[in-house]
Amino acid sequence: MKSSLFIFLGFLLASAGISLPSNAGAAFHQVAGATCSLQSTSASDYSLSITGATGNQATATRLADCQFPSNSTLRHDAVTFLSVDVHDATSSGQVSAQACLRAFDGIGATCGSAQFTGFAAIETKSLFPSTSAWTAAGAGSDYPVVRVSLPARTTTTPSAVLGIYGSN
Amino acid sequence: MTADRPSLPSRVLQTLLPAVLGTLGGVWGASTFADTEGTETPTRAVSVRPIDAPPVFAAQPPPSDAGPGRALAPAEVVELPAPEVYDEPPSRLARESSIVRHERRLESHRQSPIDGRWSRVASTALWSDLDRLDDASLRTIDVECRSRTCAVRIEFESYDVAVARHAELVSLPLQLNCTRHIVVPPNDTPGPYEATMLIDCTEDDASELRW
Repeated sequence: MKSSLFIFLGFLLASAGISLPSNAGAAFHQVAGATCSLQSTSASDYSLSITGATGNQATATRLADCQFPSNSTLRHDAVTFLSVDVHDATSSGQVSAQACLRAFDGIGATCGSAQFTGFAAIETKSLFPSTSAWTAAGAGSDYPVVRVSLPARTTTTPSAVLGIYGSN
Repeated sequence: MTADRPSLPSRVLQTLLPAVLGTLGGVWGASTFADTEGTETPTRAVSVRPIDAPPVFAAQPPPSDAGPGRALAPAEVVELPAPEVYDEPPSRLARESSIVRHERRLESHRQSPIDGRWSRVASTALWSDLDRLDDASLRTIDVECRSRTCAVRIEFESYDVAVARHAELVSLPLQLNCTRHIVVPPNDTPGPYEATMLIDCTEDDASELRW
């Protein structure tokens, strides 16, 4: 009788196990390099001194709007985790990142709360801005943008956006 | 002395029955409790509707095995199924204007109760931050905070200035570090242009408030 019980349990587990792999890896993610446009009228403000990065060579703070790919695999209104890799090259300024939306009809903007690097450290850091602006009702209609505020350059190395990772 | 051993059919039954039951139970359990939500590959919702177009007719070639003595009939006409038109996903067609969505947010703000303490602290922080932004091309007219939201009326020098600078307002570092919305509906009237920015802290943790 004991062996029957083991056989019963063994088959129960084995049968359940057959369906488990389909649950694994349910989350989708997207990784993007720093495809950003710097809100500046001067081409000399741009910097690519760190390969693939968008840096700010200007002596004033600049906003960099970075594209976040949104498609049927991972729509931006399903993104619940966002990580933005940045380099803060200043010991007096801060880099910040926000999940923003440009209105689809071109007449508005929304940004979620910002995440900041530390004030007093030169560092390469991952920022995790809130995605609540992307996941709000109706946000799926609009265009997602990761907005990064890059402080004025104080040394030869500019502050920069390195890349973006998002997942659901 | 030999112990009473169960007969062969009984032993087979004793071994196989639990296995069969186990398999059935496992399959049932897996299909019932498996978390299928999120495992489905998201698909683009495509609605298909037949169009009310006249049927399409096409000439069908005569049968090739027509014998020499058989008169060729005029090309037979067959009706082809009506073509299908693929609509855009509903979410792309039924998009609600930014203006309508913003109005609804502002209305919800107006209807919300006032939390005296939060309102005072938030208003003070906002006035302090926005005062630094005021220049010749824009100024803060009014700040009204309620329980977790604030409406900030901003006057721009002109509509063109509003278009150019509204995105800057939603990224300005503020002590009230919450979600911000602004829309700038088109306006042909020359002169100052007013827009209302909504600051919404309902989705943000109190720990995110930078004061």
